[in-house]
Amino acid sequence: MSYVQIFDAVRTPRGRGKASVGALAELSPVELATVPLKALKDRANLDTSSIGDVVLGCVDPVADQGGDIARTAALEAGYDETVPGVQVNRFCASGLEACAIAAGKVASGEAGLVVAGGVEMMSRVPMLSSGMPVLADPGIAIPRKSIPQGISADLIATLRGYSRDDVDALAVESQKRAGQAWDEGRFARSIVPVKDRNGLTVLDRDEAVRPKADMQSLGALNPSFERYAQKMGYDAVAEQKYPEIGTLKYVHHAGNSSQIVDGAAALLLGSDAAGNTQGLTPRARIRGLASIGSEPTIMLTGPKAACDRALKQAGLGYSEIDLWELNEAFASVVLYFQEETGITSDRMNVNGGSIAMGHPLGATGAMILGTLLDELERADKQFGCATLCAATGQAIAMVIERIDGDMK
Amino acid sequence: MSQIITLTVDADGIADLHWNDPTRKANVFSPEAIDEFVVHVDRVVSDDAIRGVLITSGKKIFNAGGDLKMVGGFFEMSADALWSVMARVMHSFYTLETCGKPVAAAINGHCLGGGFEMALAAHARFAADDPAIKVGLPEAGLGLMPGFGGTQRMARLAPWQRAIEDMLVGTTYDVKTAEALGLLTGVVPAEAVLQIAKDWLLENAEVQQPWMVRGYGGPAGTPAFERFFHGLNARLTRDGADNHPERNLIAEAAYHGLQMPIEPALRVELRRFIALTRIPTVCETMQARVFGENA
Repeated sequence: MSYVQIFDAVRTPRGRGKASVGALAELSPVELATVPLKALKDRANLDTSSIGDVVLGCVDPVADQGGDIARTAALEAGYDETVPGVQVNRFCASGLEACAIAAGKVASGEAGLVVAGGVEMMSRVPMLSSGMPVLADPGIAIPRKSIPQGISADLIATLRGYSRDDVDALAVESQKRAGQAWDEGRFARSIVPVKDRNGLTVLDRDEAVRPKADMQSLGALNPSFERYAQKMGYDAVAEQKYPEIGTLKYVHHAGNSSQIVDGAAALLLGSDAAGNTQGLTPRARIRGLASIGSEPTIMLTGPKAACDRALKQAGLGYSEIDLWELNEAFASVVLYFQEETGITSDRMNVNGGSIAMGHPLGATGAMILGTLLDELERADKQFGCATLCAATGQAIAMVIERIDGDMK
Repeated sequence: MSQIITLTVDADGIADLHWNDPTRKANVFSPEAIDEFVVHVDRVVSDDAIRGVLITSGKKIFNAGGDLKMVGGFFEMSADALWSVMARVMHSFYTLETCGKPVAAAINGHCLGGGFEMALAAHARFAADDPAIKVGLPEAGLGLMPGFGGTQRMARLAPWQRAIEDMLVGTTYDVKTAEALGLLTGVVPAEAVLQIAKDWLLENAEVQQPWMVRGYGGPAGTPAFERFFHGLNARLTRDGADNHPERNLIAEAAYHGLQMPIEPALRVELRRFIALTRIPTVCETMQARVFGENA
């Protein structure tokens, strides 16, 4: 069988997702989404009429981020008007889901080349703006014992006994790795600086990274969800669903949870034949992919099940995957996955993650897939797996294999 | 022919929809009363001589709501049959509030449950200034929920968060509190209630319910609305959701109903009212109460 190829991967730097301080906050979501789309076109000198579709993840597709931002962004990026666009949402998995859908379009023969990625301007369209009936609708939330994600993250930590030091240590390491990766130019191949219409740079570096964060500075932060959970009654809901935890403990805070940021990313995927026609050199092939559902109250424990299935499709075992990218939604998500799979941190998120650089919800999946590809090339490794948990108990995983320049 | 409710039209064209059940201490919505009520509402619509409707009571208790024996019987009925019974009331209330003629209630005594729901469907409610009078929707206190549109109209008239919280536990109010919440148009001396209500009808020939006015937005669609329900759901779960199905269903009726116009919202409520009567534990509690009181 022929595999779906990845020809290129780009992303914007991530700007802090608060309108008053974020460097990208002055942009519109459409403007931001066009940045990676234009870069893919320009870098390959691509005839955009050969692109079969543009699939973009976006979690809160309302207001200026709504109205099928994928199609609008394709038009605004100067793609041929024959190129359609579709916006998809699987919460935090959306960016990688967009790639999975694109891969399906290629594999089915619907399209030769597909652009896939995501965008989220959290400074402009705050989280939950598109609604969340699983929390808001009494007919759903009450019987399901729904809780918000941050409290699910604390629930995982409580269930597994992760201490504040455990989660803070992971966050410190993420910051250190991200800082070092930037210093060594490890993101250089993917990063597309965001420029204004005059060519002036708006942002060329991930804005939220704090490489000097240490246990002491993180230790000073108050838990984010404690007062909220107690005020709202979510602590009791979590304890009802998981009575074995006794009392919920609060270890997550702004410093060991993914940061709220603005950002966009895109990859160019396609078939062997379409790549050849356009003179593209494949960088990797998709060997396996899977999306799964998991228990929705604890919500964030699905990546292992997703990886199990993606690896099975790839015919590979955990030990054969050289590098892992697991979205650092919350520190406990990473610790849980490592505990479940035995993957050690020297193979996982080696250039830091969302705790350091931020998690632009709809884009992150595409971002970490690009980061994984860059690092496979830099480290001269063969197999990588990118995976994310997603709201209401979901997860996605994609296994890729690097294609060496010569062996195309 | 009417035994429980009479309709008398005066020289000004004001129809007195007068409740005075000869066999009971209090006016209640019994099957017989509903039959008569529906007939009178039809007449209000069709009789051009009628220019306004004044709802009055010949009893000290203005209206105590659903007849407990009838409500107890709801649990034995098929969903279809119960829908038919309830929908007649739903339609007659909706007809009253949209027929183009002003409707006012002259509340001279306790006005509770279905009785208060009837008053909420009127365009104005004047109550006697008597601290002993209670008004409101106490259904949840009995493990039941409003089914004649109360969840929808009260949350549209009073501050919606307060209205929902109060309906969830069945809080009732004295007339001053109800007035402050916007649930009563006026609290006036007992001897003047009828005249003031009638004067209001004559002065407000063109009245519309606030939720029927073009451009009415309501509370839904705001971040505060979503946030309120996030917290409410967690609290209801914390406080033992399984023990209070009526609270979950009231919350659900408010959450969905407030996001749409009143007419479908009334159906949203009614479907949940019927769902409540299908829950065995609610049925047992209610029937024990009815038989207990009959014994």
